[in-house]
Amino acid sequence: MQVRSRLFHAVVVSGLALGSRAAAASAAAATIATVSIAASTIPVGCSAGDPLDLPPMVVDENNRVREADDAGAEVVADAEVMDANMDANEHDGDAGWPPTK
Amino acid sequence: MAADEVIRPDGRWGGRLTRRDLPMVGEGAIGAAALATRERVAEVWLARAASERRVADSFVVVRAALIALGADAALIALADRAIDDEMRHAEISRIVASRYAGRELAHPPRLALAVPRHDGVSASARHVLHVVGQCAINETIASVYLENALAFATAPLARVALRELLADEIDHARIGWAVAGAASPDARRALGVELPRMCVANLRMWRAPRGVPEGPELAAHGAPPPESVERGLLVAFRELVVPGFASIGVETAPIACWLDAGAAT
Repeated sequence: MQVRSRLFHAVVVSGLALGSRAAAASAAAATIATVSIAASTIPVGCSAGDPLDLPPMVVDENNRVREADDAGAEVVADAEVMDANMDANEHDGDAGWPPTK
Repeated sequence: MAADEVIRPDGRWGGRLTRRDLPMVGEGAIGAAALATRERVAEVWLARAASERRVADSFVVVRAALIALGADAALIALADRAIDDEMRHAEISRIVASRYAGRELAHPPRLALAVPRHDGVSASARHVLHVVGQCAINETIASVYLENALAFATAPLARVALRELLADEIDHARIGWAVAGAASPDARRALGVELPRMCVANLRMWRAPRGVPEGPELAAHGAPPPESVERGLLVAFRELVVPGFASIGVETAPIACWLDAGAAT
């Protein structure tokens, strides 16, 4: 069943990465707040960025899971692209599961 | 959907019901379907409308749980959107049922929602279990179910509707995995204890007779054959749910044993 690997990545791996990024963002926000309170005269040059930048998923005409950006424009996110994304997440320590095909 | 329940303008598609327009009835498979088949398909989709509406209520619980847990605002926003998503699903399903029936069908009676008590766990762990149960388990399985339904569906109306549902369920499932992966040690222990029961209860629900028509002639219109549904459910547990929880260190051996023994419910 071809969908299993794709769904595992789209649902489980992406979800775990989402949680990791959210946790990291919360920690970063807390750190920034602490720094701001402790040394408010020191500019905080770092940003937590967009911790939840995993776009929502859509399913295309060919029954493939794709990612949609905020404007609704589709970005192809087939298994290879999603694997690459997850590989990158794993290298960042964000993913809790090695991507499998 | 009651008269005072509307699709929210801040929903996924900005107040629109669907991303793509639902095809009209007429040409193609739906038009060629025998009248009796169309009535049976309508029953299936109307039952689906009732289920989807109940899931909207469930996401009210999920949203409250995430707020109580102090979850990241984006996760809470996603759960908030999920309430509207499920309302849209209910309406999409009702419209599909109506088009198959050839007449406007009323919303089905609202189904009661029973939220698990999870006695003996902390309030915080209970919130995690509610999110995980609805999202990581149920919505993950729903995603597999809908993929399976899509594989059989050939009627354009059914295919477009199923895609709309599936696209949202994937996002909803991710909420659960996000929370499970970031759960506290206390919540993770509770998860290890409760997970087998939660899996059995969820599979029992999916297997429960719903009193809706079944038959091979319905598969093209979004109601996959029961035997393929059963296969898909077990695949979902074996290849998504179990490895997912195992990857975050939650004990899954009892679930694997249960599945190997036939997954009795």
